[in-house]
Amino acid sequence: MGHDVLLTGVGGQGVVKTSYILGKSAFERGMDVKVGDSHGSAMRGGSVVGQVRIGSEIFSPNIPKNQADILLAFEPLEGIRNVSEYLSDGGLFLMNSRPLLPFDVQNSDLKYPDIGEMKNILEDSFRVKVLNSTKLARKAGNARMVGAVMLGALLSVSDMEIGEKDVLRVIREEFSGDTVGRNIEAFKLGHDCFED
Amino acid sequence: MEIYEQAAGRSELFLGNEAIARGAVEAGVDVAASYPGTPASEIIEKLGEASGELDFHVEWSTNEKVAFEVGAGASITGVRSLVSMKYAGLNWVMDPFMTIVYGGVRGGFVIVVADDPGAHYSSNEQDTRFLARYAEIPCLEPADQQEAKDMANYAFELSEEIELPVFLRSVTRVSHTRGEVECGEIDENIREPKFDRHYESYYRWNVYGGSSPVEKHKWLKDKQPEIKEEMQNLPWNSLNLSNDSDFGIIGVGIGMSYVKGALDDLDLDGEVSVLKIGTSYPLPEGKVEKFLQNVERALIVEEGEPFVERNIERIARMESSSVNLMGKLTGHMPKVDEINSDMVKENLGRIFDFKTHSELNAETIEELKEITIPRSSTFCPGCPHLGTFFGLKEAVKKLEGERPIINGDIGCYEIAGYGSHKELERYREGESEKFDPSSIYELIDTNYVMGGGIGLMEGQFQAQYNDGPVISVAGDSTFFHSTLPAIVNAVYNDVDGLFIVLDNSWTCMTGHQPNPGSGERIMGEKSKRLEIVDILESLGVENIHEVGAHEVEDVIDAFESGMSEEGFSVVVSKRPCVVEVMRRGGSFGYEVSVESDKCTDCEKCVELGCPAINYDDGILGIDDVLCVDCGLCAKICPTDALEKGGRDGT
Repeated sequence: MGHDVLLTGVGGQGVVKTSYILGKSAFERGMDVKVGDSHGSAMRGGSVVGQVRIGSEIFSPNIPKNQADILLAFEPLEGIRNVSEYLSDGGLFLMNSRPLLPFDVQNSDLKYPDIGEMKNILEDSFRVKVLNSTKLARKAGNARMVGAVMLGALLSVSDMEIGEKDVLRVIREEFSGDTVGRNIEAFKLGHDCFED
Repeated sequence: MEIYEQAAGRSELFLGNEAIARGAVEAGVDVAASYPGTPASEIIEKLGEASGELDFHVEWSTNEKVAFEVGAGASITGVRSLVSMKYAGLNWVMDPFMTIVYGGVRGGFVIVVADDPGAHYSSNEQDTRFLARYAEIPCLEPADQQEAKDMANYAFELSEEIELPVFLRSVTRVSHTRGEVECGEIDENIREPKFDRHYESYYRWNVYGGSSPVEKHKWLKDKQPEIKEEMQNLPWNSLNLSNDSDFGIIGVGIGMSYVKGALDDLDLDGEVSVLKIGTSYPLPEGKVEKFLQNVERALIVEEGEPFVERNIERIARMESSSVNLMGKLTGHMPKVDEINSDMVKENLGRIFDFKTHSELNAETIEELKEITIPRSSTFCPGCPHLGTFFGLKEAVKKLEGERPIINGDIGCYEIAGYGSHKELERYREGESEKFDPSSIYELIDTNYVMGGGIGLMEGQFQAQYNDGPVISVAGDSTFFHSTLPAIVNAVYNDVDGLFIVLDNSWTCMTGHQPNPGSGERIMGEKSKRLEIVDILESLGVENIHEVGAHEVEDVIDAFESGMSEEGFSVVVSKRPCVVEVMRRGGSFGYEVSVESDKCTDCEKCVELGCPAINYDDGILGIDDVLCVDCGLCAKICPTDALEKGGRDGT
């Protein structure tokens, strides 16, 4: 029993908040949980990594090397940047396909990797699921609610020990006003996107 | 849920810093003070939220030294106080820190310091446990969030018992990790402050009063056996001996969580002897001696320098123990950067001869590595600093051939010195001197510590650096924290240099805390707003220019004046932080449209460095997920390819 989940993205995408919502949902189901984050030396615009460890008893705050069961990539490049260090062989790589171009693409000759090529490489070692979370979030009312979409999608394609109700309860606690309804809508769009 | 809301006996998923705040509330803290610093800031933020409900005083002070003295002053009157800071703040506090221990305190006085091994948010990897030992006060070191809460609570009691400040050393992975914390009772009693000049000794609160400081130093030395005794039987120091192996492992603070994680993953629980240390100074020597008598080989797992390791080595020598110690000194654990449970596992794998983790397909790793590109850090879209640094870049470029030195400081604006992939390429090509900036991220030349840039600039002027102007920058919070004496020095010693204050109204990099220029205090209460320009005038600065940070022409003009005019000049570039404006419901409404046929590939917008601009293969665009409609790019585009007007979502 238990899951190690790595969340990766760019500062400002909600990686830290989403890590908390996921961890809190499991904690309220009686699981032992550790949630950690690190975001390099910059608050925004740089790489951000969140770690959620769920089990019967968790000691270390860090997911051991190649022991993550799931990687939630809020942004494609930030997903592949961290996958080799963390994800286990055959683990689930759930990716938002909407890139945020690094500044370096603008001011140097570097090219953003092709999403199709990324997917092909990843599929050799992992179970890969791709969705456009940004587009779904926009449909729910705000393109920045990528985290809620990713959580919805996660629950629909994994055997996480938490249910829809657990996550929605935490979303209701953590947001206020109109943003509650919009986040719930975003969660549901993510949850339903791999149907049929 | 706020930290004061959870009932005793119930559990909550607390951040380490929230746990520390909860522990302080359970101990009935009366006064708490700090200056923001990651990873310590949430302690005071959470105490601030609790202070409204439980009626005690919490403040953001101007700097850590002031915060420390606020805490010490309260403690002298017999109430309980807490000060918190990141490790760097303690360096500011060293003077009172080393002196308040001469005679000690009355009300419980707890100093919480968060170290940042791995320098996730910091300019060095300093291990502050040395400083606790230097001041001869106990250093508690929690392994997890529960211990952080429990130790914070106990630290007040211990402080009153030994009449000295107590040091609680956290690290990033304790402070910034959430874990289960079972709460205790909250002490809602209000302590009445009282003052007694000769409390239990002659002139207790005055190191020069009556006898000499040497007498008070002796008092501190005489306290040490009592402190040592107190550490021996604390629940956070424990010893579990195993008869199955001659190998033992010592986990210190967070190191113990990595030890437990590794033993659990490898099913070695109970197979080896384990010494858990929660007081890194003074050590529970009795337990250490017993451990050493029962093992032949031991691995020491601690975060930071080999602080406990050297002490264990000393004890082993005194006990004539032949134990083979393995740790940072012997290269078994790394000498720099953070540690983790994988490193513990690797050592255990070598000792017990098994494989510690599964390997990924090497081809997949190689292929992913080939297509992965770097992501240099940038300012936020709409950030005031984009305008200020674009203006500085333009003004500096006009100097043609001169080599200005731009001294940075600590805050978001330091990103203008993070460099970029392009700069790295030029460096690798063998250029060693300064290049022309290809963007605003290549402007800042030097950066070390809070308030440090302006002093470096003064030194460069006094060295008669002549290849270009000398410049320094600082934010509004840094201005109040630690630049004022250096400004006075510049005026007094007649420095010819340009000092730029980037005033965005909040202390942003640490999470948008208010400061003396914000007009608000910690709980949003209105306060007197100190105007930076008024302060500069009163300090005798003659050349002062105030500009709006996104009024690029004005910014360039001000910098050109500041660099060319005689004497010390200050440019105050003002505009509130974009994140804070939007959090408060504000917006900008300056939608920019892209007219590609007007783009001449001049790349001014790339030099601006806004992450919402997409310019790839000569194709210009705006990322509408990131753009906040501030309009700055339209102001700097020379050909109107970026122009005010509607924009379609894509």
